[in-house]
Amino acid sequence: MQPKRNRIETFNTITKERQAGADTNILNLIDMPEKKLVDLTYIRSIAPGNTAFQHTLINEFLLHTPSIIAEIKKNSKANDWNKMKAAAHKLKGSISYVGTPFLIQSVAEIEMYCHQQEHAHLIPALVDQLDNNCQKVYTELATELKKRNV
Amino acid sequence: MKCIIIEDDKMSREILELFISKHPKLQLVGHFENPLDAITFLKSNDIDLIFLDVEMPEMTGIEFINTLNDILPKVIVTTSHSEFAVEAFKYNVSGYLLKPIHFDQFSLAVKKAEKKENNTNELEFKDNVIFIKEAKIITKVDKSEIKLIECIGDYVNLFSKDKKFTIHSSMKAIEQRFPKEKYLRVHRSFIIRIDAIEDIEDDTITMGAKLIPIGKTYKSQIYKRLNIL
Repeated sequence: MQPKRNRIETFNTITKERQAGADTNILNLIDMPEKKLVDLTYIRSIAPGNTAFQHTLINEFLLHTPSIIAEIKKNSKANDWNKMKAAAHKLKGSISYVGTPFLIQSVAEIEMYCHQQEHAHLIPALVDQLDNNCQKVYTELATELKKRNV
Repeated sequence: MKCIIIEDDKMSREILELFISKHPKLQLVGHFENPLDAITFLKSNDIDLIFLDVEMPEMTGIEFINTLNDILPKVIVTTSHSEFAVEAFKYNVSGYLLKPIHFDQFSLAVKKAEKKENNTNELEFKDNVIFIKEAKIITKVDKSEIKLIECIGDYVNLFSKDKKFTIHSSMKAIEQRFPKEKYLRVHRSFIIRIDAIEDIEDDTITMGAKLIPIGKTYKSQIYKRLNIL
């Protein structure tokens, strides 16, 4: 499976700029939707009216995802693609529950590049993108819980 | 149906627990993050159904199925990858659920597993007599005439002295229907009637013209049961 050309070009640009010493912010190059990032339709649909359960799941996401991202970053720095792939894989279930297809895409690409090791030079930029987007998702989920007075 | 969950992702586990609590026919008796703990549990507990995550760090679901082949209950695999599901079906699982799982899909998979469990209704038992249904014909057979039971995939062959009956069932279900004092599981694919054994040599049982292998995991139990002098 070949990565999309425009994404490759973007990540290549970031990689080159960083190698040249620039502190390129990935978010300036990747278009993120203006609308809400998180879609809680799934969580609501499996436990309609059961807000306690919905909150448990959201809290679970907020509690465990940062440590997995930290594990991915650690393995990315160590160029340990196998461990990184395994860590990225751990995210797959939880990110699908909070309705974040852009995170699913990032994780799938990280897994694929770790497996193929063909475009390994793109992985650090992808990991940064995943981390940045996750930070935004955490903020949105925390706001959601606050709105619900949790 | 008594069931367990084997899943290392907490959110996925909590969702399955919620679905099981909502299902009238399911009773959750345990959940495991580590498949190795589940193997220990399954060796001493009778379970009807497992919800099994096929991608775990300690052991993949497929490795888990292979390890427990002989005592494996019905399995519904849960996965984030559809390609893992295709692989899992090679191992005779009852169904698969692609994450994120919805309750209607969950119920359907349970119903399918339940149906598979009930397929053993093809055998009707009355005292020492069994009625075996093959296609449209129901044959009365004296239970003692069945000397050998062999499992091939989803089917079980029951051999009498001069006949072979083939029914759609599982080895576990059939094993439960024959008296334990007279029949012995000697291999994941074979159950024999003890009084039909002629001799045992090099982990092979001779029964007339048939040679039946003794499975490694059954060996010690067999020798114990046969009370060898």
